[in-house]
Amino acid sequence: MKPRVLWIEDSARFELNNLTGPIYFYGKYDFQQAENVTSAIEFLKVKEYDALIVDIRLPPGNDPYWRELYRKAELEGGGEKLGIKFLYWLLARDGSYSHPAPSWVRPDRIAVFTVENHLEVRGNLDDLGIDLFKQKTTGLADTTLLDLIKELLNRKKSNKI
Amino acid sequence: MEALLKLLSDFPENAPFDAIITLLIFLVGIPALVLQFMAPDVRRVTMERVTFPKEVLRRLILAVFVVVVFVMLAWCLPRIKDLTFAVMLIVLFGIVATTTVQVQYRYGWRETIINDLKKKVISSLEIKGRLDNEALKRLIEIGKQSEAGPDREVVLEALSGIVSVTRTHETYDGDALGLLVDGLVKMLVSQPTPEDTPNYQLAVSILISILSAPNAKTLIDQQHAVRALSALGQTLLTEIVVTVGTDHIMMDYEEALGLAVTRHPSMLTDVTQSLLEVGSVALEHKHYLFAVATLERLLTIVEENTPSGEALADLLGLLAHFWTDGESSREFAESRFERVRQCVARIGLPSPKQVYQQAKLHSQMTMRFDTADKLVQMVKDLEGGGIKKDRPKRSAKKKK
Repeated sequence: MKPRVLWIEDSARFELNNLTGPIYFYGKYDFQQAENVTSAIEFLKVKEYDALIVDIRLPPGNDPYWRELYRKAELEGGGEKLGIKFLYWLLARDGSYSHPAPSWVRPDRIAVFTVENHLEVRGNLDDLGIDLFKQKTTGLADTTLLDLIKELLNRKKSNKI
Repeated sequence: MEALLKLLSDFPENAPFDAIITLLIFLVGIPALVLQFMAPDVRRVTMERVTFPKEVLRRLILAVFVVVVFVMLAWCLPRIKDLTFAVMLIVLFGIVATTTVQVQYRYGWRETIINDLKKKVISSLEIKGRLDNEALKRLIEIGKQSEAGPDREVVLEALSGIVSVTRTHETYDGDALGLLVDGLVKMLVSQPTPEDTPNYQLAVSILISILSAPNAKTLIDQQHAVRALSALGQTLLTEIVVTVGTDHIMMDYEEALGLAVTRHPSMLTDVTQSLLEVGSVALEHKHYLFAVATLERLLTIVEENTPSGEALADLLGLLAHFWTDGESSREFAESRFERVRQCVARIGLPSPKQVYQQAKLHSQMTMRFDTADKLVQMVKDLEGGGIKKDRPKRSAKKKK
């Protein structure tokens, strides 16, 4: 069975061809994309994924809890980093949301792919044990996302050995 | 209780009841009329927030409070009852007059609402160091729901003003205008009409302003801007009839993309991709001036920047579109071959064939199968000896 990959990213509409094109072209993965936290949680409830690529800048979607969290964070000036709060929930470090995080999620299955630079989010990622990070910059190679997935899956494999 | 009954029995006789009711009706009626005659796009957005009804309710409560206070006063001082009621009417009239003027000024003119939202967005930048995204979203929503043409232009002018202030603000680092750029694209792309053609020109000037922002370190907004140029350019070419008189608007898009890579060389592949996208669409729709300008721009960019496989692939892709378009387009492509050959040589791969293979793979991976097919066709034609020109016919050998 092909490894299952979930990319949680909201602003890929202009980059779909470039970044996801190669993934579909090579057909090595069972690839899914979620555009907001609510959709991502729905996917995570029903499937176990081998790799999760997460953006820090995520919109909340329709779930009232996440919308409220986003609204509060926006007022404080950090609304665009809802992805951090999502990661804390995902790794069962924040139990305030009504649904528990999936038990199969571990830090070695997560990579962060975001516009923020590493310094801005390093503290949180270190706290969560997530060490695979890729910044979205200008001039990304076509295979950036593909390579990131490969690297994540290889790490997961080597952690198992 | 007796006093109250006495007051009530006195009240209808002496109090200017008719005048009070009339003024209160005006107080509610005039804002209702303003709301009724408001532009639909503005009314929808205004009513999403409850500020407008709250404001009217506040004034109504104030008016009723004034009536109660003066009636009580008149009851306490019966000797100057008439004077009291006169003053009450003057105060009530003042409330109604100021409400009329203020509501009319703040909500009666579309431009005023748009201006207010713009000021709100900008003032948040001054106070908190970031734009007020809620106000910006409302402004964008008005723009999306506006009639194409001059109505939408007013919103775009407001966005232009916001960009002008933001890009030179001390806190600006290249990451504040993503929402604005996305909104700009949605405004124009969601319902493209010829009436919006001048607004496409205004849009490109906004995007140029973002691309040339002096202190953009992260280039996030600039990336959005390059993508937006591609999206808007393609929409202009495919959905809106572009006449000779509007070719200059398309040329602005090509120049803006050139500017992007001049200012920010790291955006090379983002720009070459956008040029390929708009150039191929222009060719498909027979906008030859723009298509040629785009190819020329793409070629110049590849020549003048550090060799990049993907940028070269985009160039070869667009060249292939020209090659397969028609006789004249093919000749034009041929005229650029020497320059392209030099770019290919710079890339450092062992053979041109490998370069073309990589270009084809790049096109396929990025789901541009049409470009990949045209590349294959071009390579086949070139390997087969180029253009099969008319050769002199050999005279048939007579069989003996």
